[in-house]
Amino acid sequence: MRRYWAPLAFVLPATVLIMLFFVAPVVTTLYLSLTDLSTITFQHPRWIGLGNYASLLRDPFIGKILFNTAHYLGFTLLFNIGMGLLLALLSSSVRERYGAQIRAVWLLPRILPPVVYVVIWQGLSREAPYGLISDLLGKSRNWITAQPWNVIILANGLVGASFGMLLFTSAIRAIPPDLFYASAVDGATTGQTVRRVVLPLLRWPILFVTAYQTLSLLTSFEYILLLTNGGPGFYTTTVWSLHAYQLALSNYFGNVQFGLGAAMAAVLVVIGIVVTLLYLRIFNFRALVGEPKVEVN
Amino acid sequence: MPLLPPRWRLVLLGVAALSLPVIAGIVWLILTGSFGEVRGLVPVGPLTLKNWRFGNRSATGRRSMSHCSTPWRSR
Repeated sequence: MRRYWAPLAFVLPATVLIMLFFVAPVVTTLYLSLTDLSTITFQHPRWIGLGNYASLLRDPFIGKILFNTAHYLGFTLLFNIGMGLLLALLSSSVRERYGAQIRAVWLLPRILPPVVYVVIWQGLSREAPYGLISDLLGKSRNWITAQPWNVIILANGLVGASFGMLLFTSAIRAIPPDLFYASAVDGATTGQTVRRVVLPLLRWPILFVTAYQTLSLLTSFEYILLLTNGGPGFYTTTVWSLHAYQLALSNYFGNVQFGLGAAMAAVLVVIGIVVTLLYLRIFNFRALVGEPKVEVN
Repeated sequence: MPLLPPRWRLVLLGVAALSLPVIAGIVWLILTGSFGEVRGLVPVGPLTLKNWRFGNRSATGRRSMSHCSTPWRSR
C-alpha cells in the first residue's frame, strides 16, 4: 500500500480540483433538473423526478431549437475547421513575414471583447447608407434581421477559425522536413504533398480542434445572444444553450425556472459526451494514441 | 512546409481577400469612434474626439471627480 502513496499524493490536487469544479457542478445540475426549483418555489422546491424532462418533450418549439442547434453547430464547425486548415496551410506555405501578418489579422476578432465584436457586426450589417454589407451588395436591409444565420455563422466562424489556424500551423511546423524532401524527390505536386503527407499527419490536431470546438459551440451562445437574442421572431436562432440560459437565468416574466434550465443543461452534457465518443470512434482514437509501429532510436 | 510555387501565389491573394471582412470590421470600429458619421467605410461627418470622452468621464456619463469643481475649491 505504501508504494501507492506517492502517486496518490501527486494525483490528489488535480482530482480534488476536478471533483470540485467539474464533477460537483454536473451532479448539482442533475439534482436541480429533478426538482421544480424556480423563483416562485425557491424556498420550498419539490422533487418532481423526470417532470422537467417530460416538459421539455412536450414543448412545441423543442424540435426547432434542436434543429437550430444542429444547424449552428454543423455549419460553424465546418467553417471553423475548413478555414482554420486553409489559413494554416497557406500561411505556412508563404514567406514567414507574410504568414505571420495573415495570422495576426485573423487573431484580431479573437482578442476583441464579444460586445465590441458584435457592435462591429451590427454596424456593418445596417441598412444603406450606413452599413458596409448593404453598400457592397447594393441592397439596403438590416442583414442581421434578413439573414440571421449567415451573420451568426460568419461572425462565429471568423473568431473560431483562428483557434484551428494556430493549432494546425504549429502541427504543420512539427512535421519533419525529411518527409517534404522525400515527397519532392518522388515528384509529388503541392496538392499531392498536402493530401498525402500533411493531412494524414494532422489527424490528431483535427480531432482535437473538432471535439473542442463542438463542445465549445454547444455551450457558448454569447454571440447569438448579443446579435439576435434568439430572434427575429419565435426561436428563429435560439439554440439549446441559449434557451437553457433564458429559462434558468433570464426570463421576460421574471419567473426563472432553474429546474427546467438545469434539465436542458443536463441534456446538453449527454449530447456533448455522445458527440465526443462519436469523434473518438470516427478518428480511430485508439490508433492515434497507440504505440508507433516503427520505433526509431 | 515548402514554399508555394509562383503559380500558387494567386491563392495568397485569395487569403488576403478572405481577411478583408476582419480588417474592414476593425477599420469601421476606428472610423466610427473618430468621426461624427460614417457611411460604409467612408467618414462623412467631421473628425471628432466626442466618442473618446469616456476617458475623463465616469460610467454614469458625469465627469470624473478629478475634474469636478467642489464648492470649497470654487470659492
